[in-house]
This record gives sequence, C-alpha cells and structure tokens, in this order.
Amino acid sequence: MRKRNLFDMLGNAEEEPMDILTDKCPEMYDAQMERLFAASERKYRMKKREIERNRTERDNNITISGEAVSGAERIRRPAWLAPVCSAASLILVAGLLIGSTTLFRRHSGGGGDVVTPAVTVTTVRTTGTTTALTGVSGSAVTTTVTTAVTVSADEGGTSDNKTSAGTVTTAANAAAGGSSSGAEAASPSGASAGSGAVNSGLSVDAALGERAEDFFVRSQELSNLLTFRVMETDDSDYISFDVDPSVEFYTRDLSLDSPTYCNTHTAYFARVTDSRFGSTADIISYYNSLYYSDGGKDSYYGCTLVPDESGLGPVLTNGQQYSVAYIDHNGKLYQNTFYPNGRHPVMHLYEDSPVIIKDRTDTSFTAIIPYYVYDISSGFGGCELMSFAIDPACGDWRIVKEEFDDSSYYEECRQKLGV
Amino acid sequence: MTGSELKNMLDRSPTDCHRALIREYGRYVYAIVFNKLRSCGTQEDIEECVSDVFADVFIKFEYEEAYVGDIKGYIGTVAKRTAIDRFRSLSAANSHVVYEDEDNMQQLVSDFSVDERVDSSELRRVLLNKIAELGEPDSTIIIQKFYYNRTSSEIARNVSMNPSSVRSRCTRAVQKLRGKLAEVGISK
Repeated sequence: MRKRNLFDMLGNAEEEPMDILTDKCPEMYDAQMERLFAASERKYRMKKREIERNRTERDNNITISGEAVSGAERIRRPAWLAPVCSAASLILVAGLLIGSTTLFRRHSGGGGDVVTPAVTVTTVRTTGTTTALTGVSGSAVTTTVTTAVTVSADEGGTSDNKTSAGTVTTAANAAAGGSSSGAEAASPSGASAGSGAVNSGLSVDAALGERAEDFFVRSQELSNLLTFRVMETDDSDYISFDVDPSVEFYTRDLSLDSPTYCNTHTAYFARVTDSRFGSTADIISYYNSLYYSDGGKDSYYGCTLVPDESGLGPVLTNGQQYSVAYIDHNGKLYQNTFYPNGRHPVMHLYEDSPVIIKDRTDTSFTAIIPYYVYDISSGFGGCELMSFAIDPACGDWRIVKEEFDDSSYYEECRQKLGV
Repeated sequence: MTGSELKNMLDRSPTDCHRALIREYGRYVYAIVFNKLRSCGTQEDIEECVSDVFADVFIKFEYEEAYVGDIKGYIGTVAKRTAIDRFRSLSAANSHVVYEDEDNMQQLVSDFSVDERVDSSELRRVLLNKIAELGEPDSTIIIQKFYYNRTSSEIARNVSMNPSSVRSRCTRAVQKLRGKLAEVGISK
C-alpha cells in the first residue's frame, strides 16, 4: 500500500481549500494540453455520434409557426422490440392458462367443460377381497369385487356395464335403513353420494388406514430417535471422546454429579436402555421396516442416513450439524447427548377422522392422515400425505414419500367422499 | 469567459472553442480531479478523467441552447461529479486487493470514520494556513512538491528558478513548516 503522508489530508477538500490548491496547481505544458485536447475531442466526437444515432428524428412534415405545431414526430423503435414483446406476451398468457388449469384440476378432479357422468365407478383388481366399511349413518356396506371392470351409468340411471372378463357383485346392506355412502359402495344404478370421490380416486379403507396410521406413529418416533436422540439412557454408563477444540459442542456433561447441558470439548455418549435397540444395526433395521429400500433414504426430514464410514454407526447430516447419533461399544448401544435444538412436536391422531386413501393401485397408495399438535383445541395441525408402495425386498408396504398439507385439504377430500 | 463569448466562439469554430476552454479551465479541472483521485489513481487515470470532464462539457454546450451563466461553476460541478464517479470505480477495483496486515485494514476502516472526517477538515485548514505563512515561492514549492508530487525540475519551470535552488528552498521550507506545525500540536 502507498505510504501515507501529511499532505494526504488535503485530498477530498472542500470549496475553500480547493481554491488554494487550484491556485497552486502547476501550469499545464503545451504537450500535456494537446494530449488532453486530443483525448477530449475524441470522446466528444464519440458521444456526439452516439447522440446523433439515438436522437429522435423530426419528420420533415413538422412545421412550427408561432405557437401552432402540426405534423407528427416519428420515433424510431428497435426492430426486435415488437416480436420479443409478442413472444413474451404469448408465453405469459400460456403460463396463466396452464397454471390455472392445473390448479383447477388439482382440487376439482376435472375441468369445468368436461361432462362428467352421473356415476363412474373405477375399481382395481383385488380378486376375492371383501371390504367392510361403516358410513356416517351407520350403514354397513360390503363390497365384493371379483375382477377389474369399469362401470358407468348415465344421468338417467341407465347402466352401461362393460364387463369384459368377469362380473361385479356389489352389495349394500343398509342395516339401519340408512343409505350407503361409502366411496366404494357406489351402485351401478348411480344413486351414490360418493360418485365424485370415486372419480377423483379417493376412498376409505379401514385396514389400509390403520396400517398408515401405524406407519405415521412409528415414523414420528424414528424421527425423534435419529434427529433428536430421545431414547431412554442410563447416564451413569457413558463413554466420552475429545472433540476438535475449535468446535463448540453443546452437550450433556455426564461426568458431573448432576449432569447438565453445557459447552464442552468432549462428546458424551450414554448407554441406551430401550430394549428394542441393542445396536446401531437395530436402528437401521427399524428404519428399513418403515421406509422403501431404494437405497436413498433421503426423505428423512432433511436428514440422510448415510453409510457408516467411521465405524460409529448412523451419522446424520442435515446441513446444520454433523454429528454421530449412536455408536456401538462393547456390544452395547450408546446415544450421543449432543443437543440438537429441540424435537418434533408430537402429532396426535384424531379418533373420529378416518384416514382417506388416494390414488390407490395394486402396488401403491397415498394416505391422507389428519393430525393435530399440542392440544385438540389448539387449532394447530394439518394432514400428512404419506405415500406407500409395495417394497419388492419384503413384499409389504413401505413409505416412499412424506408430504404435508393444511387441514383444509383433508376436509375438502372428506366432503367429496361424504364421510 | 462568459456565456455569450462561448456562444460566439462555438458558432465560429467549435474546435477552437474547445481548445480555448481547455486552456482556460484545464488547470482548474485538473486540480479538482487530482484532489479526488490522488489517493487511488495514477497520472493516466487523472488525465483520462479530465478528458471525460471536457468531453461532457463540450456535449453540454453543443446541445444545450441556453448557455449557463456561470461557466466556471458548471465546469467545476461536472469535474467534481465525474471525479467522484471515477473514484468509486477505481476504489471498487482496488478493493479486490487482499490486504496483508491488520494495520492496513484498520487504516481503511478509519477512512470512513465521521469523527476523523471532521478532524481532517480542521487539520486541512490549519495545514494550508501554515503553508501560506511560508510565503511565496515556498508555499507553491511545498504544495507542488508534496501534494502534486512534482519533481524539482518541473517546479523550477513553474516558479522560474533553477532546480537546485528549488531543492534547497524546499528543504528549508519543510523545516520551517515542521516548526510551525509543532507549535500548533501537529507533529506528524
């Protein structure tokens, strides 16, 4: 850097000192003057050319006499402006149309211009299965499906059965005189409240719903185990490791008589007493019992269960922290006491709100599971859209995707179903 | 130069008018630009900026039908604004340099201190007063030597002296100035 001297303070001077400095300014020699003149002229001519080129051209027809002005001023616009603007407008309009159509179809299950048949029943092949449902009115509905067909009925109730390779037997037993209202209880005669729901792929299946709820509860538990380390431990049985001194490690100091959380440079691991988990392999096995074995395991609340590289068990990385959650030591499982900022709020399931099944196929479905957090009267909650698929590795359902939505979405689906 | 003189000259010959403007206001513009850029620009940067100022001024006089009354004031304003723009671009370019030591960084930070700005203004006034007290040609020699960074030969041409005389006067003037500044508590 240039050495500073006392005269540097004269820089950026105000008006008065500037007059003195100008007065003392060295004379300009002819050579320097000519150099400046040549440079200034060159720049002046360039700017003038630019101005002339961009300047508004006046039409020869314009005449100015006194205060009256007639004629028109012609302004030259870039030639590319019009096509570019047209293309941009078209793209904008197309985007609006596509976007609004997509949004409309998402919640309505069809476009407004499409004439929807009064009843359209679409079922999938589940040969020999019998599903029992209970509708709102208490009517028991039994549906037996023997083969895959599509049954359609027009508004007038004239059924148009297209049975290609089998028959459909649908029985609705109104136990208390109530009408059937289950999604899969739509009769070919077309007298069904759930016709729209069937069309949009919504249904209620008690067995699948219970499975989905079980997955939901266990996935929450696993989340807290892995992300927030909430297993029961025996704090008197612990092991410790030195941590890089440059890392601030907020952990539970188990060496104290009364263990407390503090910033230390030692990592403490307490022995897990939960009988279900005796090793890190058990945790991974628990994970595999819930999630699809696609090898990715990347849908875990932003965390990834990565392969063990250090021999210390499952490692969590979520961009904010990198720490070993559990390790095996002398045949026992130990849990890190590193404090990772709280835990998930517990999501409670409603007792009287059935799980709604959506987009069901032979090998996949999505469960819409309503839940509330804290207290049922708190008003906090939503619905989880948990997608399942049959995992070829075990031949059973496994979670492939977890998404969230507002309670209003569940209510909307429920209204369509009429349950 | 007045507005009407300028208009007449422009009508006769724009080139001569431009040359006359540089001859009359060249030093003035140079002093203003130098004052803004001396801490961050080279001699080439300063001359480049001066030519930018005059190009802008020429354009203004070419296309503005109402000539400004105070030509010097107008040129001074254009010079200041152009120099400040150039200062910003040069400073931005220089800011990519990685400074090696903490002292330099603190020096940079202190340049933006409001308190220091106020102190600098007062110090500037005191310094110029003390230089003026040296009398001519010593005050001119000191400013041209230490502020404008001119060589003794260049200063000698400006003050009509020989270079060795300039050097000896400069040495004595510096000693006198140091004493005067020490009297008012400025020892650095």
